[in-house]
Amino acid sequence: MKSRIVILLAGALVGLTWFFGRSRIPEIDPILAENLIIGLALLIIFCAAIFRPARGVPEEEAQALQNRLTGQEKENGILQKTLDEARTEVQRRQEEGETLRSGQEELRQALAASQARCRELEAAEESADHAAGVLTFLSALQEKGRLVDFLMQDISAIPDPRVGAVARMVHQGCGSILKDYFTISPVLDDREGSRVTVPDPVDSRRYRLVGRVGDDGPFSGTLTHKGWRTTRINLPEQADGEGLADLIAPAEIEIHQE
Amino acid sequence: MGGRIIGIDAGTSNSCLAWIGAEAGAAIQVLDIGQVEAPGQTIAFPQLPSALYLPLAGEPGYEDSPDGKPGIAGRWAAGRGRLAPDRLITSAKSWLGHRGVDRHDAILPWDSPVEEGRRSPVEATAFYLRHLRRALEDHSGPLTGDDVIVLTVPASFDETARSLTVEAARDAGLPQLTLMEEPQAALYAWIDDREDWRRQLQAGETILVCDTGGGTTDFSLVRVSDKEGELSLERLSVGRHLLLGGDNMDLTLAVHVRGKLEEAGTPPDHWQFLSLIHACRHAKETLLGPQPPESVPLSVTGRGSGLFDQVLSSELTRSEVQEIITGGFFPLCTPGEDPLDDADSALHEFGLPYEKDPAISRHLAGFLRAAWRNQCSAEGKPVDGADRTMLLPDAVLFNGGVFRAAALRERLLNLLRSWDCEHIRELPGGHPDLAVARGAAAYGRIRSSGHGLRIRAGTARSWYLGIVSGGMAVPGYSPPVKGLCILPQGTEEGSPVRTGKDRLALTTGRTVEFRFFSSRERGGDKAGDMIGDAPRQLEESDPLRVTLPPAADGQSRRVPVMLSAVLTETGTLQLSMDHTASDQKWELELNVRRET
Repeated sequence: MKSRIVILLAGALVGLTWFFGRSRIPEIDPILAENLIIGLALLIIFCAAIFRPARGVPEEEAQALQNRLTGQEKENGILQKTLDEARTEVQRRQEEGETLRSGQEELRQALAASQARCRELEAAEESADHAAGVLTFLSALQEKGRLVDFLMQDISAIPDPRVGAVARMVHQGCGSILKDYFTISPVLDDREGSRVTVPDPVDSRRYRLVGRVGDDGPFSGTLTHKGWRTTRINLPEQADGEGLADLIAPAEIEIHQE
Repeated sequence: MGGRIIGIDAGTSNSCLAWIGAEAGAAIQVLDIGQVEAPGQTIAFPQLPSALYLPLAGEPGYEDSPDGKPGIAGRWAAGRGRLAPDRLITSAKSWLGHRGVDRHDAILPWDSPVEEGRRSPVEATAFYLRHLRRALEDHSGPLTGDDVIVLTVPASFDETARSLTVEAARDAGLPQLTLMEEPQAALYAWIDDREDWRRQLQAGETILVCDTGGGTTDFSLVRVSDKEGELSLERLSVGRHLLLGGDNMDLTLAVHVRGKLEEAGTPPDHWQFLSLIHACRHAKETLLGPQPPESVPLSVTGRGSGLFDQVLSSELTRSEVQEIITGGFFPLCTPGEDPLDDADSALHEFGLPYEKDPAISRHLAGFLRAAWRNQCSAEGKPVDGADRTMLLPDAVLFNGGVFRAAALRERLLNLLRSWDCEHIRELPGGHPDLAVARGAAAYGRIRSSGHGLRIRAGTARSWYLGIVSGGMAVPGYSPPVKGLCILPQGTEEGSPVRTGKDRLALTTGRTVEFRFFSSRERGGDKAGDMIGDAPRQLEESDPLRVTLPPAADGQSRRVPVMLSAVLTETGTLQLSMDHTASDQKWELELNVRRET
C-alpha cells in the first residue's frame, strides 16, 4: 500500500518536473532536463524500494501473530473445557429431568390422594359440625326442658298423672326453646279435615300424598296434617373448638357454705 | 350527612337498643343483641337480661371480659346466676338510684362472700351499656362523633342518679348522649307508631303513663295542649321510683303455692322453689291473658336427673291469681288512701328499699294527689281538698311487661273509673317491652332533625339549695336551714336560671357542705324563692362536699356571690357562683365523683 503511494508520488513528481521543465525553464536543455527528471524519478523509486520499512514489520507481526495464535490456542482449550463441562451439564440435566419427570408423576399421584383425603376430612368436619349443631340443640332442650332426663327414664311403671306432671314441665321448657330458636307455622293454613288441592306439579318434599294416589295430578283430597315449617331460624352460633364433642349436660355439684 | 340515631333502654331487668341508620328515610329497628347462650355458643335476641354473672375460671367471661374483671351479662348469665346467686348481680339500676349506699363502692353482688369481680352500681351499669355498644358496633360499625345517642332513665331518677348514669355511659364508651325519661320515651314510641295520633288526643287532656316492668313501677302525667292550632305535649308530674313490679308478683304467687304444697305435706326444697317462681310467671301470664282457663296446673322438680322422683304438682286457679295479683297489687282503693308503711309483706329484703306496700293502686292514688297539689301550686291556687282530690287523667298509656296482661290493664282502668274518671280510655300500645328504646330513638330523630313533636319536660322537680339563716346564736339550736329555689320545676335543658339573690355569703378555702333539696309538689316556686325550714318542707337529696379555692384577694373567706344554676344538655345540674366584687366565679356540677 505504502509502496504504491511512493510510486505514485514519484510519478507525480516526475510529471510535474517534466511539465515545469518544458514550459518554464527554457534556459535548461530539455533533453537533459528530461533525463534528469527520469533519473530523479528512478532514484526516488529505488530509494522508495530500498527504504521500505516493511522489512522489519513481518517479524513483529509474526511475533504478534504467534502471540495471538498462542492466545487463541489457550482460548480454544478453555472453550473446549467449557464445552465438555456443558456437555456433562446437559447430561446431568437430562438425568435430572428424568428424575423430576418421575417425581412429578409421583407428586401428581400424591396430590390426587391428598385431595381425596381433603374431601373425606371436609365431609367428616361437616358431619362433626352437623353433630355439634344437633348436640347444641339437644343441650338446650335438656337445659330448659329436661328433655334428655325425661327420655332416659323408663316410664312404663310410672302412673299417668306423674308422667303428665313431668310432661308439662318438659313441654313448657322445650316449647320456650322452640319459640326462641324458630318461628314455626303450618305448611298449609287450611283446617285439617278440609278439602285441599295440591299445586301441580306436586313438590313431593312439601306435600305427602297418601291413600289412593293415582298417577296424574292435579291432586285434591282431605288435609290430614297441615305440616310444619320454619319462617325464621335463630340458632346459637358455635365458637370454633369451644364445645365438647360429647357433652349434652354437665354434672352438677351443689357447694354448701362451711 | 349525620350519623346514626341510637335509643338505649338500660332497664332494671332487661335492656334493649333501637337505632336508625344514617341513610335518609331509614326506619327504627330494634337491634338483636348477641349474647352467650351456653359456653361456646352465642345467640342474638332483642333483649339483654340485665344480669351480670361473675364466672369461675374456665367459664365464659372469665378471661375475655371487656372491663378486665370476670363478668358476663345476658341470657346465660341470668340462668347460670340463678343457680349460684352469690355470683349474680341484678337490679344494678335500682342500686344506682339508691341514696343509702356509695354507688362507686364495689358493693355488688349485695351480701355475697364472692370477692373476685365485685362491682359498684356504676360499674355494673357501665358493663351493660358497653355490651350494648359493642353489639351495635359489631352490627353496623364503630360509633362516631356524628351518632346521636339517647339514653333513658326512670322519670324518678334524681339528679345524682342521672349524673351517675352519664358517668357509667362515658365509662362504657358512650361519650355524647342525651338523657330522657322512660315514660316519655314510651309516649314517643306510641306517637311514632301512628300517623293519626293527633286525632286520638284532644287539647286539654291529661295522659297517665303507667310503666310497670320486672322490678320497678313509674308514673308520669303528660298534658296535651293546643299551641297555635298544633297539639303539643307537656310533662306535668313524675312519681317516686317504686321498687315494685312483675317479679314481686311472681314471687308472691310462688310463696302462695309453696304454702299449698306445705299443707299437702310436700314442701319444695330451694331448687324446686326457684322453678316454682318460674312456673308461676307462666301461669300468671296465662291466667291474666285473653280467654284464661279456670286453672293452670303447676309442676316442678328438683335438679336431679330423676325427674319423677322429685316432681311436685299443684295448681293455680284464676280466682287465686285474681285475689293475689289483682287484689294484692291492684286493689280497688279510695282516692284518699296512702301506701301502707308497715304492711306485713313477704317481699322484704335488706339492701334495696323495696316498697313495703305492694298495692300499686295506693301508690298511684298518692301520686295523683301529689300531682294535684303540684298543679295548685303552679297555678298559685290554694290546695283544695288536698287529702282526697287528684289530678285525674283522661287516657292511660301502659308500658312494661306486666301490662301485657289484658286483665291488669282493665283492672287499672276500672280503678281509675272508680275515682271519677268515667271516660278514661286506653291508648292502645304496641310493644310494651321495646317501646322505651324505640321511643328514645324516635326522640333522637326529632332532636337531630328539628322536625316533629317534642314533649316539653324540663325538670320534674323544683330544686333548692340549703342556706343557713343569719341571726343570733341560740345555745342548743342549730340555725334553721332555708331552701333557696335554684331551678323551678319545668326548667328546660340548657337554660340558665338566675336567682336574683346577690347577697349570699360563700365560704371558700376550706371543705364545706352544700345541701340540696327538691320537691315534686311545689310547681309554683320561682327561682330565688326562699322556703323556710327546708328539711321539713322539702325532700333532702345527697349533699355535696367540696373545697372551693379561696377568693383571689387571698384573705376573705366569706365572699358575697350571685348564684345561678343551669340544667346541662345531658341533664345534670350545674351551679355557678359569681363573685359580686370581681370576675372570679366558682362552678359546681352535681357530680358525685367529687362527693366520695
